[in-house]
Amino acid sequence: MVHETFKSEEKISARALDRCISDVARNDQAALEELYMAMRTPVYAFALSMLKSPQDAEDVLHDCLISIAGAAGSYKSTGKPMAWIITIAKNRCLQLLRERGRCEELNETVHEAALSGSERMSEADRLILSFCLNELSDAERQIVTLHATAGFKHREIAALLSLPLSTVLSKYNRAMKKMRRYLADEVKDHV
Amino acid sequence: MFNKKLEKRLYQAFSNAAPDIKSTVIIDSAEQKDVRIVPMYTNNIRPLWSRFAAMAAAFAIMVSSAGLYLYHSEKAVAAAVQLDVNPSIEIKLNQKERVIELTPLNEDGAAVIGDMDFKGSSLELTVNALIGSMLRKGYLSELANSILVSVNSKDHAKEAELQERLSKEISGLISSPGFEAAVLTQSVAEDETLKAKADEYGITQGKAQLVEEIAAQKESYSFEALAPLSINELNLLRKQAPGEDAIHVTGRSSDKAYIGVDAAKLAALRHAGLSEADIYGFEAELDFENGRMVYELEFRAGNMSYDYEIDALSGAVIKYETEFEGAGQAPATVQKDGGRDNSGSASGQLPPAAAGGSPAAPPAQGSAGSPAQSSPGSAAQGSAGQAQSQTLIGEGSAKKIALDHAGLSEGSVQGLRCKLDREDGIQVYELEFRYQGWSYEYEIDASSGAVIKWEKDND
Repeated sequence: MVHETFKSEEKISARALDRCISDVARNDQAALEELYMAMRTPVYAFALSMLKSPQDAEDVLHDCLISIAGAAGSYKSTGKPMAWIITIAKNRCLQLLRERGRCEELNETVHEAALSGSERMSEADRLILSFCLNELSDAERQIVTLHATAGFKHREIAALLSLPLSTVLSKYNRAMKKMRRYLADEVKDHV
Repeated sequence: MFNKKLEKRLYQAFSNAAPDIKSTVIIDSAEQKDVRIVPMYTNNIRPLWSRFAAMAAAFAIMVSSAGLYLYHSEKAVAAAVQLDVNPSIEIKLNQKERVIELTPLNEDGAAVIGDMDFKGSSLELTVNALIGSMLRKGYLSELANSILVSVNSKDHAKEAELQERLSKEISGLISSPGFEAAVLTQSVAEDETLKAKADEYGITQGKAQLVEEIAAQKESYSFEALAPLSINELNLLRKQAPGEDAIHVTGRSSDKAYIGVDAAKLAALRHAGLSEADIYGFEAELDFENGRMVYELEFRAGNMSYDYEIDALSGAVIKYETEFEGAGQAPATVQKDGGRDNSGSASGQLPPAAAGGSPAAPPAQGSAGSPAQSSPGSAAQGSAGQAQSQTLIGEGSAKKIALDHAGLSEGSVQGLRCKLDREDGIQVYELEFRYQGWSYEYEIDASSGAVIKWEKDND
């Protein structure tokens, strides 16, 4: 059952997700599962990009699922359901940081071992994630994560992170360049 | 292109790292159905004071609307001009044709604008500076000389006038002796569906309009496939319908980035083991198939008809098909993807070679450029079933191919690196080098020498 879920995790369209949320408001169990499948990776990824702790990110994912399921009733269809979801995730992350008494990012290096959560993770996965957590700046990491997992356009990312569009574009470019170089070098070292 | 691949890997990594707590959540949410978390930006509950403030503001504006007229007209958007080459930029103008807002609509657009600030500047100055930037940064060049100018204004007369003026001006700015630019101008209306589609694909409304028009011309063209192409490529694909004047074009789009019909013909002939003298009924067309620009060629020799698809950038044979067209005998159709065949082999059905001596049988192996393996008149080699050629072209050749493609010499570049790798089941050479602030990356097919992918970036 677990493996079936992940094989069929596909990018869901905005319209379908919109409908899904309204169905969830009507207590449709199947819709809840669909919602979960759609938000699992983007929300976890974004939370991880903000909090840098896999454990915290898991907690945020869990909390978000519950609060979104609960808030589904007050969701007004905007055509941008993912933005709504990620905003909730962002606020939950900020709340967590405040509760912990920290408003700034943690500067500790996130060890690769800490990412050992799931057996599904391959060496390549660990590599690219530890790069993102340790080598990119906060803004770069959040921008790249949103672009790759939530399917946001740069303009939407700019709005969510309250950054100018040109900043988002240049940070994105720089981050992707760094990533490419890092991964190429890593491959050479491991060969 | 490489970014997409990287992002896919990143997505995969996150997906694998994210926990599966589905069952827990569903139980939790069933228990907590009364929880109502209100998202931060809900707009149905506003504090009383802000509602009052909004009313007061509206009242104030009404009263002083007369006095605000002057202010209003300076900030009101009278016209919007969108520029597309590859970079996309939108310019919003007021009634005095001064710039109110300048927005880059993609990464290249932001690169072109850089740090320049045009608020309050005249349209002429702004266009001058932007075109200059594009020329300097290489977005406009001999290889990519086409720009699309889309004008939108409620005042139709102004729209037409702007179009004409900009067409002349930009043409003058870009063209120089021996280098003629293609300037496409059109007007764009306020269209919500078009805007939505444009946003979805990350392109300007103007470009979306152009793409839509081209996509309608051919069954095989889809909006999605065409949207990321440059204006240069789009204009090459576009066939102007007679009497159509929605898009006004001056100049011709450059096809210098492509190898040209003659080179494509040569590649096909070499592959078929024929010479120019053997063939007749030659036809060629530049087209867009499966995400790339190709030359579609057809010709006949003897009793056979040939159809070739040649990559317009590299000259690699992508697809070929030969058919026997004589009377009586059953047609033996051989169709393969050049360089990577794993379909049925050409087994013994081919008729004897045409009179004149040159073998008509296509080569057994897929390596582009090698002459036909079979001797004239014999049944075709049955060994076409082999998936890959074992002989690689070698790093030296790969380097030369990449450098030639970039138009550079080995001595002039820095950080030249070459590595043999395996991508999508075939062996490729991955190369990179730098030249004058640009970084290049190449992927060369290790058996055929075809350029599979290349990327140029300025650091």
